[in-house]
Amino acid sequence: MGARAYVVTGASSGIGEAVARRILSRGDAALLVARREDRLAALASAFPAARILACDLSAEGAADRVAAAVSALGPLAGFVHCAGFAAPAPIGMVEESAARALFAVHALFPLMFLGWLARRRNHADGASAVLVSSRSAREADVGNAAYASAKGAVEGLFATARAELAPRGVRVALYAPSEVDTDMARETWMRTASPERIAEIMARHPGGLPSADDAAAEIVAILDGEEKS
Amino acid sequence: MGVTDPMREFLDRVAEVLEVPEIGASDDFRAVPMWGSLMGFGLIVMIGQKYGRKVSAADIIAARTVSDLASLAGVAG
Repeated sequence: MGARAYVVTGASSGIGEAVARRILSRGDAALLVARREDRLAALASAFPAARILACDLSAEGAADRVAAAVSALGPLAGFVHCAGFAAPAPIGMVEESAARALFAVHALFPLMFLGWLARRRNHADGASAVLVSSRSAREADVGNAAYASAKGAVEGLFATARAELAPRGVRVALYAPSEVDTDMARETWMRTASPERIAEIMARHPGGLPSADDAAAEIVAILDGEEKS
Repeated sequence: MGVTDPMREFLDRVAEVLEVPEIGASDDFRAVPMWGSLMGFGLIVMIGQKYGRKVSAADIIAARTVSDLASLAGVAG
């Protein structure tokens, strides 16, 4: 079997970067998508089969832009959507522009991109897509109203997309971790949670927080069909 | 057209987060009726949204007065 082609969003840091590294390190090709071009370029520089696209996935038309860039890679073996951000705030302080962008990047973008995948049938046999959600989607974590709403939306997408794409030979999986040690975690709950809240969270991770690469290993196993989602 | 007083504006914003009609720079921000960890979080978020500063829970824990919060926000006065 020759090298397979993937698209990984959120590849500039955290889980997305770790997924991209695993895929590229085993000799597959990947389009790396994120906002920060310098980080993407640094990652891609070590891998000849990497392509980059600096793109804000919350912007209108983002799925079309990614689709155009992906076309150059040939039939896709996989789509991993790690891109996203959190803008924690009490519900009364949520900024509408931030909330719109959260819905757009977490749920609207993968909805439109999976639609392109289904429409153009531009995928390899046995292709898979992994959508990333979070335990936050179903837990009452203070400050996460907008983020949890957006992740709830991607969970809704997962159910329908899996059903519609299965007959086309595309597996859609959902990866919904609890806390992972990433820049996003450090900038959000690790910075703002009270010591009591942090102790509660860490009590659920007696061996320490999973690393981004730990999460990436689970995602790649899902992509390869080695795990049920 | 008046001149904006950054400290006045900051005090107004803090009062709004703390759900009190007004608050003074030397006041203990924890002395408000509704004080709790959600309000501490609200202060962190307000400072981030309005002043672009990334304040931590530890910063809030170490602060005593509204004036301390102003320093965290980079508001002179």
